[in-house]
Amino acid sequence: MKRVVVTGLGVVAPNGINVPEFRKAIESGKSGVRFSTELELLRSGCQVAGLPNFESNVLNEYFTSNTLRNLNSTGVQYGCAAAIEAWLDAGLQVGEQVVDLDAGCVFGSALPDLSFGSELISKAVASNGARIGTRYIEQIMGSGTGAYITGLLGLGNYSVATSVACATGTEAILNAANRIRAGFAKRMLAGSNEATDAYTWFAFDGMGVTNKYSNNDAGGASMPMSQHAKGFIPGAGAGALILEDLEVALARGARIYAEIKGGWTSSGGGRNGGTMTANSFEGMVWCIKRAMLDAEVDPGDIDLICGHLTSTKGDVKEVQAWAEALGRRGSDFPVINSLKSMIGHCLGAAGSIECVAAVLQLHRSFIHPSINCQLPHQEIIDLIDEQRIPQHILKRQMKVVAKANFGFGDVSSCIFFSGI
Amino acid sequence: MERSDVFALLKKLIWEYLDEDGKNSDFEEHSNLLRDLHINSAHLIDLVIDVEDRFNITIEDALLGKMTTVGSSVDVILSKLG
Repeated sequence: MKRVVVTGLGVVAPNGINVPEFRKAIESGKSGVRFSTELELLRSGCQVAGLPNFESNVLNEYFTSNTLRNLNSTGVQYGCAAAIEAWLDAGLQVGEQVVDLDAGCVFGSALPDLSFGSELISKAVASNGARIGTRYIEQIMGSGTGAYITGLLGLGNYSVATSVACATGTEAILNAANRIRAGFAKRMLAGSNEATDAYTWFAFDGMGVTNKYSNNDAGGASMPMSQHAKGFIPGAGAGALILEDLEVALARGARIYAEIKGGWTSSGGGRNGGTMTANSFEGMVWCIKRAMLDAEVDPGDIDLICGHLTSTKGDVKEVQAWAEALGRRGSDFPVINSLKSMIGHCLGAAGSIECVAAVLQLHRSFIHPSINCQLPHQEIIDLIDEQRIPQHILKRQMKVVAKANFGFGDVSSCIFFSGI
Repeated sequence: MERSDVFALLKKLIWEYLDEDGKNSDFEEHSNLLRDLHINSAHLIDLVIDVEDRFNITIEDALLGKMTTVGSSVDVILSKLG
């Protein structure tokens, strides 16, 4: 099997709309959760969200004015911006005239952009049969973002959009990595996106899974692993990674951020307590164990767990699953943090944004704080040493960083990064 | 409205749909929208919507096939303007 390395990173996150801004934010524990006037208008219980401070004019240099005109889906905009940043970060050129049949793209999203869809519905209802323009389908179709990206960059090897609920981003990266491992591609752009979409967030609010009690304290609203956690905070954005065959990366002198050792994506099968909205404990444990086997990672090698950890009651079960799968507890447990403490839960984009953070921490030898967790949940500190949840940035050389995401439909995805 | 006025207004609308190759092409009455100006065929409908809005006219589907060149498009617009 080929070895796969990460050579480029791109991100549009609530607390940073490019990698340098994002890295600075996560080092300092800066929150990107803000009050949402759109959620207020909908009278949502939760009225704060992880909102990228994004200006679409960053795309002007790369797309024609006609393409940009009516490019209104924020999800597509975020995805394209993150992909372009990652591509350039890897030292690659935008605008090559020939199709690269060795380079492909896996770009996922969990949910449709209902805010953009509502624009279509309003226009269709008001049209009285008149034409409504041609730009809706390409932004609504699941593979829309990937289509813009592959068209811009000339990626001919593979082009698919994947969707695995909140595990979408991690699965997309694993999916792309496995294509290189198998020798089917030499370079892959992998990532995921989620639109700023108050309608979708409102639907989550209606399920009672968001935090309705912190509208006056946006920065403190997302509190993974805390005794006070009351539900997740929705968010939006995109993350993108450039993955390459190690030999190809070395041959062109590329900067290597990390190696992808391997991983696994699976389902609990809706058994043993697994439901549409809850993961089965056994399913989570099995996915982590199977991922370690695939990556040939020993539990003792893991220095940091970048958890899924959404600021819900699922956090306790997740920490228990890690402890069970790794056979490590107390002060022997790896350091564990949650990026969602700063950016909320970016749903389909969560995995890719969080993988960008995981790779940055590994490469730059730091562990970002898991904010808003001054008082960890009692059942968590019954299991692991409280000091394993960092309140401040830690400087640390690390061997292996674990990243996992879990999602609706009882799905799990776990990936391991290391230095080369 | 004079033909030259329609041509000038139409050129402004079409310009928004041109890539670099299209903008560097000769823009004449005989220029073919797809072949010479490289307009994406899917976007012709958007151009027609812009034309309808700008000239305050309605162009029926049956007339779309006649709008192949700049000149034939001017003809369609003029026929609608009466």
